[in-house]
Amino acid sequence: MNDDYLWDGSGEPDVDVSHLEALLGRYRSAAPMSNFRRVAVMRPRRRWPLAVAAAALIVVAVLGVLRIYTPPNRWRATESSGAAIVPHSILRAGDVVRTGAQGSVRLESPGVGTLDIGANTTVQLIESRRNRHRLALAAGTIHAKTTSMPGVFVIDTPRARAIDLGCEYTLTVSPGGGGALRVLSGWVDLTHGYQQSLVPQGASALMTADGELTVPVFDDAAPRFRAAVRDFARTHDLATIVSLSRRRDALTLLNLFRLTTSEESVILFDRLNQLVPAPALISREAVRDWRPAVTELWWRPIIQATGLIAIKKKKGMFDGL
Amino acid sequence: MSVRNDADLVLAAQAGDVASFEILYARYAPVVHSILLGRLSPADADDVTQNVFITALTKLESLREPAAFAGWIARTARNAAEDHRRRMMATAEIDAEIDAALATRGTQSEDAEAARALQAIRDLPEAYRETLMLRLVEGMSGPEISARTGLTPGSVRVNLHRGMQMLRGALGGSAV
Repeated sequence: MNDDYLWDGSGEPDVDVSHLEALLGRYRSAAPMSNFRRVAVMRPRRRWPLAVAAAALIVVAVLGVLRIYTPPNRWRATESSGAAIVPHSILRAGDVVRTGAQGSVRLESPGVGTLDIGANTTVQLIESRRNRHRLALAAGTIHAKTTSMPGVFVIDTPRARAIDLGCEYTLTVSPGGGGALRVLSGWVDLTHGYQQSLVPQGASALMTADGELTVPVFDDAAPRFRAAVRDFARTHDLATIVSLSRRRDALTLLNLFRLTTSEESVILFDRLNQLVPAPALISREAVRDWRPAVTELWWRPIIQATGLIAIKKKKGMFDGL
Repeated sequence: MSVRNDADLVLAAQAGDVASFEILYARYAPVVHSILLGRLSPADADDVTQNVFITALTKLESLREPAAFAGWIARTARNAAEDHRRRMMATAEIDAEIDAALATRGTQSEDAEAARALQAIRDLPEAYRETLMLRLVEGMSGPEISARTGLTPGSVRVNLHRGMQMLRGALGGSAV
C-alpha cells in the first residue's frame, strides 16, 4: 500500500485516511488561545536568585555577627596595628597582650567599654567576670573609656590599683614601676595600701617608684603649684601650695591633709577654709590630729564648689562623699 | 523572513516576550491537544490544553534547555492529563462527555462513528495513538509531526503506517 497520502497528503488520497480525517476533524482543538499577556503579568518571577541572595546575606550577617560578637563579660581585640601580640581574639584569663614601638591594640568588652593599649605596653587579663574586670598594666600606656558600674573595671599597676568610677582616663607605667594617671572624665580611685587618691576629671596623680601616691592636682593649675604638690612628701613646700592655690584647687588641698604635719594641717585648714568654707562640724583644731573622718564632711561642699560631678558610687562605696 | 526556532522563542519568552510564547502556542497546541485527546474527553482536552500552556508560561523559566521545549511541553501535557484523570472519576464519565459533545458537533450516526474511531485510536499503543491523533485529528503531515515531536521522519512514518494498520483492524470494515 502506498502511504504517501498518509505521510504528507500527497499522491492519491487513501479513502480510509481521508474519511477518518473528515470524521475526526471535529475533535480538532477548538478552544481559543488564552490571554497569555495577562498570565505573563501574573506569573511568578523566578525567585531562587533572590532566595539565594537572601540566604547569602543571612550567612554573611550571621558570620559577621559571630565575628564581632563578644560575650558581655569577655574582652575582644577588635583592632591592632604595628607590632602587637594578642594571644586570642577573645582574651582568656592570663593572656598577655604586648605591643612594640609602633604597636597598638584596642580591646573591647560589651559590659565595660574600650581599652586602647598604646606602644611598648604589656597588659595581662587577670579576670573578667560580670562584676569584676581586672587587668594588670606592667608597663606602657593604656587609655580606658568605660560605661560600666563604678568599681567593676580595675587596672593593677606595680605600685597602685586604679579603680574605675565611670570615666575615661589614661594610665602610664614606667619601666621602674612608677606612673601617672590622668583622668579625662569622671573619677578614678587610685589606691595603694592605706593610701588613696580620688582623681577627678581634669586632674592627674602620680605613682612614685617607691609606692607613694601623690594627691590629685588639676592639669590647669599653676606649674609651680603642681610641682610643689607632686614633691610635697619630700619638700613640704606648703607655702607655695597655699600661695598659688585657686578655689578649683580645694580638692587638692583637702587631699593634702594625709601628708601634712599638725602645724601644716592648721595652715592648710585656713587656706582651704578661705576657698571653700568648712562645714560647722569641722574645727580648725580638729585637723591637728587629722584622720580621714575629720574632714570627710568637707568633701561634698568642695566638690560642689569646684563644679565637679559627683562620684558615681555603688552602695557602701565612699559613704559620706 | 526566517522562521525562528524553538530555542529563540523560548529565550525570548523567558525574557518576557509574550508574542514569542504565542508562536510556541500556535506550534505546539495541536501536539498538546492530541496528547490530551488520547486520554481525556474532547471538552476536557480543550480546557486542559489551555491549562498546559498557562502552566508552561508560568514555569518557562525553569526550562534550562530552550531547545528541548517540544519534549518538555509534551511531558507537561501528559502529566496534566494524568492529573486531570485522577481528578475525574472514570472512563464512563469521559465517554458520557464524548457522547454529549458529539451531539453538538454533527449528525447522530456521524457522531457515533467518530466516537468509535476516536476510542479506537485511544486504544492503540501510545506511540501510534499520538502520531495518528496528530495526523487524523489535527491534520498535520508526517514531516510536521516529526518537526513538532522530535521523532525522526522514519519513526513517524512507521508509527503512522502501523498505527493506521491497527486502526483499520480495530474498526473493521464497518467504519472505515
